Amino acid sequence: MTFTDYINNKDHWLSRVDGRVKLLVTLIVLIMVLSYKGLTFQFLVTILCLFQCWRMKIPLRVFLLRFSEPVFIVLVILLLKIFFSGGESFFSTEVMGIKIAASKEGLAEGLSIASRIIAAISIMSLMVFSTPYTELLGALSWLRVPRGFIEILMYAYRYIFVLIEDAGVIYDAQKNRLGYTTMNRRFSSLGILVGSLILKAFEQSQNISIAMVQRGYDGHMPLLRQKPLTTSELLISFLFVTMMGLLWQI
Amino acid sequence: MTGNRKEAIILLGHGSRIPGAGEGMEQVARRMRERFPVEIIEICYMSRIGPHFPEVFESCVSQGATKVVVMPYFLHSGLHMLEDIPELLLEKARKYPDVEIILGKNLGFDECLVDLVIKRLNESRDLRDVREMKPQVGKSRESGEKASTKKILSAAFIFLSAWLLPDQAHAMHISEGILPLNWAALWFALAIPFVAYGLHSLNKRSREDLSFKPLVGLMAAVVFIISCMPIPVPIAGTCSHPCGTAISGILVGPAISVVITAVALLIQAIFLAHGGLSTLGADIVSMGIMGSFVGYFTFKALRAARMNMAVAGFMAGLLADWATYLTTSVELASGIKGEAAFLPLFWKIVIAFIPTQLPLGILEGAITAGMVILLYKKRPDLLVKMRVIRPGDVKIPKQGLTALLFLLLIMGATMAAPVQAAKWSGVDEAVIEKVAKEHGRETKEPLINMEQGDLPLFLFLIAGTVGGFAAGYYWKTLLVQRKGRVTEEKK
Repeated sequence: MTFTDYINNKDHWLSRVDGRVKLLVTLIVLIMVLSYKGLTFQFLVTILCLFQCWRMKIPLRVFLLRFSEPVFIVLVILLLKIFFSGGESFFSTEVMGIKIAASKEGLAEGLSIASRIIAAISIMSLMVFSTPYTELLGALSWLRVPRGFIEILMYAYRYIFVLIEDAGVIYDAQKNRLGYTTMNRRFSSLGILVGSLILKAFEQSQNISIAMVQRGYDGHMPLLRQKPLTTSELLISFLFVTMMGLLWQI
Repeated sequence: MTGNRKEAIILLGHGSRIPGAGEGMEQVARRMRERFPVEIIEICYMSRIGPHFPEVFESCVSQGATKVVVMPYFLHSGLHMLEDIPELLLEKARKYPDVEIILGKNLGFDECLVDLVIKRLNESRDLRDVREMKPQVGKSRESGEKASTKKILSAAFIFLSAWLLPDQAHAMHISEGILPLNWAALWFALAIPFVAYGLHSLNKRSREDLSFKPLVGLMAAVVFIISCMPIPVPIAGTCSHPCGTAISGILVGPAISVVITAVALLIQAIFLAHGGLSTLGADIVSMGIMGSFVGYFTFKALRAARMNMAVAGFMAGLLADWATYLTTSVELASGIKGEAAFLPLFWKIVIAFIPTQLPLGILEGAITAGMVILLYKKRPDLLVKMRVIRPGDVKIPKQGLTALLFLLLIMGATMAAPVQAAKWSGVDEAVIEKVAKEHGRETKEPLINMEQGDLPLFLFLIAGTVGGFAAGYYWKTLLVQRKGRVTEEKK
């Protein structure tokens, strides 16, 4: 499992921009992308975000991994819309007696959805590649996302790695004892793995709770304390959003 | 300057998230600049709030430094000293082979530290009792922020609300950007009250039990891992996987389970691009609300009907999974239909989900049943704590055989259905269709008509299914780093 926050390139100017500003701008541009009916704006957003990702020196493997699923979905939607929408066709052929026709309207609709997906993924990727997780949580808290929700986000993020590590140890032990050689053994080993994992995790959560209470935990986790936003950051982000708004109007 | 090499000194401290916390080290650096004959003396921190070592190091090199002495401003030889800082320095050493980089000693112990501690002790004796101290760290964060920030926040919220609210209120992993704004907003509007109620329940229970929040965080991590193994599904434009919401619904209740799912989905959307921020509402509705509530109520209803734990768990997992995917199909069909009709597209998506979701539902049922039974046998106290069972209910029933029979019955019925349908097709035509026709309800065209030009769709479905399975199977080649590369990196 590749988490993308460790990729965070601290040398890039965008990494130094406050997380709250980045999150707010991302949300606004995302709304623009979702509501735009056409291709120009989506194309511009995609190019802009991908260029910045390239400048951030994001490793190609991480980039491909992040985009593999959406690109697959884009291809499926394009095929679905082009060949199964009906209407006026711009291309038709016959393969082994089966008539295949590509629809004009389908192509337009498919491209519209595909560009929307790629633009939305690009803007999200840029924000994630430039913002560490703790900063993102601070930004969510600033946007008045309830504290309980953010605390669970913090715990979950911590436990994911603990659980993955535990699961890896159990899986290796099972595999070394031929636990995954036949279908029956696979099911049995998987059941034991999941069960042991949940029991182990329950015990860990109890131990961690005790350790936290001993260190003064009162039911609330401390969150990132943030500096006041600077006028220049606000001004530049306002200008950027205004510029994007103007492009959106085109 | 030492010899013909230009020297730079970097004081490297731990730092803090609290602005101004590094003031002490900064003062030390200022005094050193006055007293120490080195032109470049800089500071940096390990924590998120910078300046950080890489940028400060680069700045020293750009000022012409050819020897950099890094002084760790650390008292103890902890992990940062032993692992993180040497790694940071080695990284720069690889990049700048001509620059001499020295890792200095940490503060550790020195006689002057004893003097310092004694000095501080003398200064501290007359301080007030801790109960009279003004809280510094616990102060609300917003108190340090300017009023203008609040105004901007309010404006942003009004702006966002204006975008989100006018749409009518209707609603697993639907990718970022698939849903247009109106549909995305609609599902958010439906999801928010459930999440809010879940948070209310969470806060209430965590006030009674301090260990409850960490436990919920753990459940979110479990749901995250279970629902993180995507198998791309053709046609539908989404991915298929077990959900894990039934077990969380059973253990912590459906309301809190919605919060758990929302958390797992948000982490997946942010870090793995699995799902999305704009489709979070839709994903919460299908996985969180439908999965949790269907799983919970199925389990409760079957337990009330005196079904044993394994059957109740199995059915809860199975139905929760299938309910999730039916809802996802509705969301996808409505989101991408454009000007086309909703139902044909909905059925195409449902059919596309079947090859993966039929077995996955059964697998999820088995996993849920297995987890419930394991907890019941090994840690019944947890189930009592989670209010799944009453303290008097703790006894180990012989239910393995019943569960197996039930599982076989479900699988058998599922597999036998198409065979039975084919056998009785003559009856359909002879009786039902005839009666329907007499009442003016003609038979509609079949969804996949092999004789009427729908063959490409059918072939596409099969090709997509095979492709989906192949892509799902080889997915790990992207996730697992090649051994050769790891060894190379270690070298």
